[in-house]
Amino acid sequence: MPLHHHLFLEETKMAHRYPKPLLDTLYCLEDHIHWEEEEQVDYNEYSNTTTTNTNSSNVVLLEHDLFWDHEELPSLLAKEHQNQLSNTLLQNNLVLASSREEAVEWILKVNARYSFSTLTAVLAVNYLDRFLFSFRFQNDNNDNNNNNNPWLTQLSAVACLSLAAKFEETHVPLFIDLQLEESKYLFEAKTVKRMEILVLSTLGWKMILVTPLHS
Amino acid sequence: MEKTGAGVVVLSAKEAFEKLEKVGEGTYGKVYRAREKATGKIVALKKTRLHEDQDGVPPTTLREVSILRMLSRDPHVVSLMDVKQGQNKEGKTVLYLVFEYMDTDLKKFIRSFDQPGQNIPPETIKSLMYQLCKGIAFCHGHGILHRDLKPHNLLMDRKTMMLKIADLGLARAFTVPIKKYTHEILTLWYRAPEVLLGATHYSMAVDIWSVGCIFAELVTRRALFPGDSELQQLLHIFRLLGTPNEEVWPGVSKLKDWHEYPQWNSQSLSTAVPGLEELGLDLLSQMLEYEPSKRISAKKAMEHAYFDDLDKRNL
Repeated sequence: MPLHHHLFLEETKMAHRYPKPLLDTLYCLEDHIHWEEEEQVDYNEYSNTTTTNTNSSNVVLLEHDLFWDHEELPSLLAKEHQNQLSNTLLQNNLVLASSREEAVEWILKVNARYSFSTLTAVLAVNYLDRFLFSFRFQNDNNDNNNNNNPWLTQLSAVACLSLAAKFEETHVPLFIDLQLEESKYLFEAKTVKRMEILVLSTLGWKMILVTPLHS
Repeated sequence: MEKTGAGVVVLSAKEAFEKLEKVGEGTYGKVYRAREKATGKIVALKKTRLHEDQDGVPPTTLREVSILRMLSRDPHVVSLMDVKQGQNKEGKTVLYLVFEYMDTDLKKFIRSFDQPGQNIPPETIKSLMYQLCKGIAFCHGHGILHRDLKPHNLLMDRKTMMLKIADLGLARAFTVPIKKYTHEILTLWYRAPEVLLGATHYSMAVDIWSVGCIFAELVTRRALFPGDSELQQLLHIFRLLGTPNEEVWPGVSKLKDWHEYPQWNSQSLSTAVPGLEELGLDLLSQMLEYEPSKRISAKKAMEHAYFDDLDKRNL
């Protein structure tokens, strides 16, 4: 059991050694799904359902995720093209790339802890990338010192995961519970609330990810 | 460490609008008729306070705004013009959703025909029903379930007889297969039987059931299934449509909240909805199919012969 956990962490670190577009995040999620399946005991720690319901839920989750993967691949490839500018931004700012890497890793850990769906994680990373790009772009123009505040990226990650969970999940943990996973910073609820509103207004409240199913 | 303000200008809603009167209570807060000072335009302001006991933006507000940002170009979905952030008297953060103003809703419209024997004209019913099907077809075509359709959530302009779908706070974006949802509060009278029987995998058919109930109510000016508890709601339905069994609805007895029920035979819909023409009764019966997968879709409903003689050029 600890071995599997260790393997997951190692895979996560390897997967995120370099900044990668959303598509690779999805590959990591597939690993995560596999790991989750093996760790039934850990799963039950966070779930109130019976073993039978847990298995049923797992099956539904996997079917959903597999279907999602298949449908989303062409869209993700197209999105990767659209994200060229973001890649350039990350390449030019190693500090941001590093803190984004940590933020994405954190999102994936919390996603696993609460058994959120793959779509929740994809939404959260999408919001984070769009926000960092838009926000960073504004600040770069203003030559603002906030460029180098890694806590800002982590706070953005908390807000983005919270928004994704609110949109997609039926049960959303409190801000404080969302931050149980190990992180350098712990933000107060009112701080995360303000960041949520900032993210929403920065993204124009356009929080529904466009997919072929919705087009 | 907690610095979050960074160059974002927030225009106070109080400075931009003059509140004229309170016109209702929405899912999460009050609704006001207001005038935009810059343009003189009349709008509806839906106020959402971010309560301290909740963590940040409520899910219903998040969904409603995101979904409306995607759907607002359809003429039969209420138009969200802007989202503004402000502060109330106690200094708490408030969000204002700025909507186009509509002067009435279907509930008030139905009630305005209050004299005995005074019915809504058949051509008006047909036009309103077509617009409702068209708006729902648009929502479903974009992967959105409404989940709380009722006359109060259908806004109308009395002059033009245009109808618009509103209050998407319970709406959900869905992917296929549709995920499990919570058994949230949903107005009983318009609730589909599969929801009442504990199904948690909803489909677009739950909205079509609601549309059927609204259709009947337009004709009779009374709710079709006015239950005051979930059990009573089911019994109302079973008394008219017959108690379902595995033959008419495969899988019904395996639903979580299924029990033994009194056995009723189905009655003709014409007994419950007198005055509706034959084609209308046929469309209604397809909207009230027990088996969700057999219920007519909104798009197919628009093509039904009941609407053939409707002038659709302005709808």
